[in-house]
Amino acid sequence: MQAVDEKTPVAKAGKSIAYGESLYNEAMHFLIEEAGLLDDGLFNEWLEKMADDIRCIMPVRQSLNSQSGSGFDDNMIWLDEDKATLSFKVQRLYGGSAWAEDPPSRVRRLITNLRLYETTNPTEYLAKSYLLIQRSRGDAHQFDTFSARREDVLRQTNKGWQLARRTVYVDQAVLGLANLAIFV
Amino acid sequence: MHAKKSDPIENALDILSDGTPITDLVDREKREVATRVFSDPEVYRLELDRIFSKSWIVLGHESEIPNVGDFVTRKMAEDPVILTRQKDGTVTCVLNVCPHRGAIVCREESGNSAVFRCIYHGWIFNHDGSFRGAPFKEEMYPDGLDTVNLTLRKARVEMFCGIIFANWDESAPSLDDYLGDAKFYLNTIFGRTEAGVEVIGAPQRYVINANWKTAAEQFGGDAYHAGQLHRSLGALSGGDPANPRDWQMHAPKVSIDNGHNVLCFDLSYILDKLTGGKKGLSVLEKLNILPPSGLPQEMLPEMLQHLSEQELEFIATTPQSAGGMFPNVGVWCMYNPGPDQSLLPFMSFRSYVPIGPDKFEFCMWVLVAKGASEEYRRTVRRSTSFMQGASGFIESDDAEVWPAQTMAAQGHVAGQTTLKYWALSGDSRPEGWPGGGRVHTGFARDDTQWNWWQAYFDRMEQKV
Repeated sequence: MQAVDEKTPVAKAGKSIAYGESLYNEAMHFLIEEAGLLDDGLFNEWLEKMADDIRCIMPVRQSLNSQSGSGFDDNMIWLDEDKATLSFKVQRLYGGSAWAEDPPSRVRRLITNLRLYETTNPTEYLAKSYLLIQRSRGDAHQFDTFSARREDVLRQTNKGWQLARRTVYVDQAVLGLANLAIFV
Repeated sequence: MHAKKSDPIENALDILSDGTPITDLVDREKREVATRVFSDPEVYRLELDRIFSKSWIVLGHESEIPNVGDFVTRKMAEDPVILTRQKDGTVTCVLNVCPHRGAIVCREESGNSAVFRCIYHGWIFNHDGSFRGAPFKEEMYPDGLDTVNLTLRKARVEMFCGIIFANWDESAPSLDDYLGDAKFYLNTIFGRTEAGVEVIGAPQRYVINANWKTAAEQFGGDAYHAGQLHRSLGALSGGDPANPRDWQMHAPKVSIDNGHNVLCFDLSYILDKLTGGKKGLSVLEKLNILPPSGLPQEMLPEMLQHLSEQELEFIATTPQSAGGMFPNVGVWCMYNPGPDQSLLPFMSFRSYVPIGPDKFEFCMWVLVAKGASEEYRRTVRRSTSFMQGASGFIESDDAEVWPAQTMAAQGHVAGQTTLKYWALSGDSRPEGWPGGGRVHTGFARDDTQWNWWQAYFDRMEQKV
């Protein structure tokens, strides 16, 4: 597994693309489709929307005072996935012994507040959005809730839009879920 | 549990409010434990007293607070504490509760501060918890303030390989005595070089709706579940659920006094795959082929200089891979093949911090040899989070079982069932085994977990 230096920024935000513009709609459409595939358990189809060089990172967060910044740890992470680890996790879900997700959770991923920007790469766009997940497992009446903002790099390819990079900036310092066996 | 004749009970606190004596929660002959210990709130309150306020509790690693004034806030069971690096290099642990009106004094998870100031009435405390000042002290308290009795209570702090332990009990044995034979094994993970290990960064913290003991007793040595609960691991390791050797179910385990446990790993399993089954390799050759997880190849000379021959041989043949420190810590350090078939090194310790009888916080630190390259650190970090912690595909399945046990234990009838530890191997120490404790070889059974429960009940019954 190749280690990548995640301290370099995901992408620098260039010109903002306004709500309702054609490119904005395409980006939002991609994110909605992606969430739908995951919520519907179509993990292989979802994997096809991930670029071969995909990296997903979710840094650990601490609660610090306002002078100390947002609290995201430079070094420690919740997850650091590439195509190989995501593929393994998808295969595991179809393998018949992924007990953490079998019976599967009912998951609802709500993607909102998209802000889209050009980047220095003409085929890549920086998409900042909000993610709210409600997850219900078994016959428990309480939901797991997970909220975060995401910064994605969406890439136009001859196979359509793909996700090239994702950083999940979680809202909690202590997660309220027993696991992250669902993709965030 | 069926009613049985119990020994005379002297202390009224040794009987639960439904008349059940604490001693009836365990059957030491049959080796069964009352399931209700996973749900009973009275048992939990007794644990806070008899276990968590009298044991050495892991709170972190000294590499988290390297500089004077560096602090982290943690929990000893439900007691909030502040760990601070002092000017003299020592680490203090003080109760993070203001003696004035009970507010939390330090409200950040980590940082650096010269003093700690309570936001409520502005009372100020030094790093060692001693009272430093209060606003309008002369106007508020014209007769003076007995500031000696207004310190933040200090816990004893001791460290092993940089792991920070704290204990409220002034009369408890030293950490050295408490860990006893566990030190030999833990040192082969966390003390391999002069500089030792350091944390990658802040710990992962997440809450699981389960009794802390479901996790603690499992990490105390459940090898039996590996091929079943963690069957999906086989897709990477090539493990066959029907073959116990593929799941290390014949690797040695060690029970140590005070409830500590060691699960070893038969390294020939990996070495054979790497060398095509080559025989007669020396210890040095084995270590060169596969340095211990968490130590990069280029640091091998440092380890060879630092450890004894016995320790090096142990690391090269049947190293400790998992196990626990009583009461609530799990240690895990080994390799596993990754999706691209390269070997992924992982190293972590985790504590299960109780939040009531039906919840605990899983707090996992990832570590690496101090001095390792940035690239190696990122590799260990990635590997560990891929398999362990919240997004780890191995530990995510554990997090499915522990809540199930806890939920089941809520039931009135289920609470009267028992957890069974019938399968024992006994002490079968191999010739020349380098460490202490009771060594269990052959098919891995319940010995280490029963060791954990005996330590638990010895304390709950106030026998130690």
